[in-house]
Amino acid sequence: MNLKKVKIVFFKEMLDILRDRRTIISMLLVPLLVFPILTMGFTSLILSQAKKAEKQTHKIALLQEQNAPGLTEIIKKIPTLELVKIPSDSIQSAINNKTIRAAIKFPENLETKLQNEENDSVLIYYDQTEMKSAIVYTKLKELLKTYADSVTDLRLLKRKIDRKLLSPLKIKAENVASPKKVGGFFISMFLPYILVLLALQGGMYPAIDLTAGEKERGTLETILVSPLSRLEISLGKFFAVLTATVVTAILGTTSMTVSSLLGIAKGGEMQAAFSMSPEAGLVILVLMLPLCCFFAGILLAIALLAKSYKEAQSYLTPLMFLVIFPAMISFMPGFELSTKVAFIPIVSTVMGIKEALLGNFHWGKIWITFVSNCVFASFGIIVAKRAFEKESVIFRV
Amino acid sequence: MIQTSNLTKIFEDKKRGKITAVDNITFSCKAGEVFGLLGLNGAGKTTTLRLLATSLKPTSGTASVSGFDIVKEPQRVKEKIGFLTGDTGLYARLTAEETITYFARLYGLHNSDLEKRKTEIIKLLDMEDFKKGQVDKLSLGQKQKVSIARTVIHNPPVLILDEPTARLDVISARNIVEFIKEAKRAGKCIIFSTHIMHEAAKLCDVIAIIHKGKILEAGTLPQFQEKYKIQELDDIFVKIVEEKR
Repeated sequence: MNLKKVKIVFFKEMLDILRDRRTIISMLLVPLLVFPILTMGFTSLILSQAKKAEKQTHKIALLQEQNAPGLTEIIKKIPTLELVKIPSDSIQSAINNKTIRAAIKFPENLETKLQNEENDSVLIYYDQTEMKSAIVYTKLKELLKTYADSVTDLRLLKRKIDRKLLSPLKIKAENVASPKKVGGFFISMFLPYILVLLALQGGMYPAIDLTAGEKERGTLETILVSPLSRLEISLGKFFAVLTATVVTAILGTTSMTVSSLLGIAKGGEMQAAFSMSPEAGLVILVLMLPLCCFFAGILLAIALLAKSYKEAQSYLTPLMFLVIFPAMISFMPGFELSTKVAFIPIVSTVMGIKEALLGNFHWGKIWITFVSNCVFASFGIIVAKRAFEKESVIFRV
Repeated sequence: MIQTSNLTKIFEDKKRGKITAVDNITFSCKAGEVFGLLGLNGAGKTTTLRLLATSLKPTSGTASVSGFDIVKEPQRVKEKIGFLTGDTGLYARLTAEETITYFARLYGLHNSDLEKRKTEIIKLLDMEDFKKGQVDKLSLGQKQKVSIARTVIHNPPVLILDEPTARLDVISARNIVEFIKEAKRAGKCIIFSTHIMHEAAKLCDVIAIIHKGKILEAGTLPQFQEKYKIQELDDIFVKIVEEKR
């Protein structure tokens, strides 16, 4: 094998790839733009909708309001709530068709019972799946709680009991997770999944273009009769696809990390920061590189089976699903990188990266994952080389 | 320059079973000679040429190109041949010049040697005006010139041409015919396949009629005319094929 020739093929393939609009979109634009749009755009949209909903006036209905005239008066004074009359048997449909956002049903003689120091319950109707209905529900619940507290205060006052007696032990909580850890936890769930997915997606179009695409355009035969061995051809193409997978994964990871943190910060609920330790970076590199090699080899071999660009796309779609499902393991709470798991491709990589991002470095298992990934990578390269050597695959037109 | 010996290629097809695409063929072609493989579609022309170009491996038999065995020394064979088809087979997103440079490098030309040869070819084929043009923006004739440049950039002693004019317009096809004549004058060994009779009659020193993977007869046009007492090559071709059916 002549490495100089592999290099010539690689640089030509890279030039070709970088001039292909489809590849540029999937390799550069998708990873760079999807995450800012998804995270920041989505967060901004939800937040602005929620703020708007808070300020808006919402219609509610009171059922059997004669049982709670005092409470009814309090509710009437709230500027963001408007009372409407709805028959009790059409409350559900009124909420479903958004005529009202929520309703309160007062029980028989509520306020009289409360004055007589009896207890009872109030029912709030709302739709959990509707943001505006949920906001109104929270408001009403708060209101009723304040009212119930005032009734309690009156009862205690009558008995000359200090309210403090009712709460001998106050429970306080303090989140000791640093903003960095908060960010790390969030990122550790998404990043491994996204990394794996992007690596595959980034290599997909170049792999199709350099195999089935070349068959379609008649250039594959030209290269086969050039003074190159099949190994040199497959390696040149392999390194080009590998570059695409790595570049896409790096761009996507950076873009996702930055936009996720900005998205969380914009949410205002929690402060988040994220910085990757050099060890975590090393683990990502060590685990992802052989996995990218595996992807590049498999993508080339499968795409080469097809006789056209379209056919190759349909061959590779199932592969996407085969990768998505094991990669989703990073979202599963409680799942850890065990020795057995370290032998399962994709799952081991995803879990190894997740743990590393959380600051847990199980070097023994990471080592096993690396070795098993290298085995799979070699398998990918061999499969690609074999595919290029098979006449029935190359000349399937 | 080219010598085949009982060259055979059998394909395994899941539905149709074994298909003998090239059946025990033996022929030779010398330097400065144009050898034509004349046959219908599916006769085995392309498979024969692919075997000689080493992109397919023979099931049995062998051949030598420029003294190198196609099975044992495929790399050396590839260095000695220029392969061209009617389908230009060019990288659409590369410029004409980049295409020539790429293949020149693959054939081991570098630095000043590469530049010298490239300038020579561009001048010879009159490509100066469009050398910076991206291939997919070129006309069919211009693409064909790029293909020729790519084929001969390493000055190969053997040219293997698979239906080089099949999909071309009249002007582009004429360029190819001129290219073959010029290559013959330069002493190259040329084997080319076609189903266009007048082209074969005009260009070939030796014509081999191939049918269902077998060479039915081979000889010069005058030899065929003498034997069958027929003037036109297409009539001779039909007669030979009909007789062997």
